[in-house]
This record gives sequence, C-alpha cells and structure tokens, in this order.
Amino acid sequence: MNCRSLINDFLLDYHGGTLPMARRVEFEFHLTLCQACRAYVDSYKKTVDLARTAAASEAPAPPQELIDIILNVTRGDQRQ
Amino acid sequence: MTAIHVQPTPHPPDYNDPAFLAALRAGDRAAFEALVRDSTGRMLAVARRFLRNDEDAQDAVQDAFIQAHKALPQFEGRSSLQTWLHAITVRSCLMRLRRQRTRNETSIDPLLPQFQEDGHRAHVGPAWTSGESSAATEEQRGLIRAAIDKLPDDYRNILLLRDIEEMDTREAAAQLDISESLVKTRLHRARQALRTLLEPIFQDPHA
Repeated sequence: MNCRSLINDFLLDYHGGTLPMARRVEFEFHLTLCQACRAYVDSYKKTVDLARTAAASEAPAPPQELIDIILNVTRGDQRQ
Repeated sequence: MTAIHVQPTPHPPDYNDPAFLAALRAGDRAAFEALVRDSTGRMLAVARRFLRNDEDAQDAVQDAFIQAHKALPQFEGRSSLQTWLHAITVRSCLMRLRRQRTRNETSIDPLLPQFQEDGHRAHVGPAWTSGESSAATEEQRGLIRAAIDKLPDDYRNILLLRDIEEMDTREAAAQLDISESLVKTRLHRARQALRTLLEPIFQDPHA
C-alpha cells in the first residue's frame, strides 16, 4: 500500500469502519511510517466533522404564511 | 369508520403515538395541522441546505407536504414518520435541483490530491490545527458552508445526503437513482475536494 492507494482507494472504508481487517492492519502500519498520510487522514476526518458541524442549523421558525399555504393547498386536496 | 380527532396543540405531537398516526392516515385535519406546524421548520432547514435560497426552499417544503398528504393513507410505519417526511423533503429538493438550469458541473479533478509517479503526494502542506470541529468559529462555519457550495452539484448533493442528512449509502443511491458504488466514489471525492478547499483555513501556520 502506497500513499496514493491509501488516500484514494482505502481511506473512505477506513473512515467508515468497513475496511477489512487485513487491509486495516496494512493501512495503519503505513500510517506509523508516513507522517504525510497521518496528516492527510487527520484532515480528512476533520473535514467530515467540520462539514457536519457547519451545515447543521437550528430549525428556523417557519413563516406563518408558508404554514397557511400548505394547509390551504392540502385542504383543497382533502381526501374523502 | 369512527372519526378520530386530534386537537391542535402548542405542544409537539407525539410521533410514536398510534392514535396520532391513525388520525393522520384517516385524514384528520387537526392531526395534519399539528404535523405541519411542528415539522415545517425542520423541513425548511433541510431544504435551505440543498437549495441555497429561501423561496425555492419554501416551495420544496410545500411540494413535500402535498406529496406526504397524498401518501399518508399508505404510510405503513416501516420508518418513523419524521424519517419518512425527511426523505420526502430531500426528494422534493433533488427534483427541484434537477430542473434548475444553473447547475455547477465544473470538474472536481483540480481539487483532488495529486501524486507523483512513485505514489507519494505531489504537494504536502502543513498539518491542520488541532481542536474539535465544534470549536469552529461562526466565521469559519460560514466559510465551510461556502466551500460546500463550491463543489460541483453531483458531489455537493452526495456530501449533503451522506454527511449532513446522515442517509446511508443505500438511501442516498435510491434518492439519486445511481449505484451505491458511485455514491461511495463521489462521496470520497467530495470530501477530498472539500478538504482541499478548507486547507487554507485550517492549516496550522506554526506547523
């Protein structure tokens, strides 16, 4: 396993915890030897965490007008 | 059929209450109104993430409720009501995105890591600053959201579905009508590209 295959082929499954054991051992052995890949894997994990944190937003108070429209439209579509 | 009535209440409805679900399936207006009042804010937050502007997001939520209203009699409860509504909202957003003319279809390749012949990375920058992602400042969060919006649409949508909306690979593939292996490939590239875009913000200047 070299840096290219670690980063391009195996990192997604490693991050997701689905890399088979033998590959994971190989992956982690490479990390013990390669500071650049350790830094890449760390920044990849942080990217996922940062995206999740940044995109998560409080549910806004919905505009009353939107609620009224939804209720009116579905009332016209009222099931029998 | 016995009429089932649920009075509108300022309290959120109990989504696990069989009587509430039965009332919704039976077309009870008060139950549906309680659902709309309680769920619209959450659905709007999802739609804003996908559609980027409030007008489109409100239209998508309206469409989603119309679809949900029609489908409620057939709702079998295999997933929770909130999960079901979330999936309908996402589908409504993706349909709207497909119809948009201004799609970002730029190549993602320049944002992917480059390698030398021997397999080593061509450019290795400084390590990133330590610290929890939850410690990101509001300014940094804004920059991250802007970076996500710079991703080509096919990749941005996958990132939103998998990492933000927390759908699994199978659900994301079904929403986009593509294979699970393509979801995985695009997700990995989207994360790599986003990492490249975030590098100038989070690299440790002292490393």
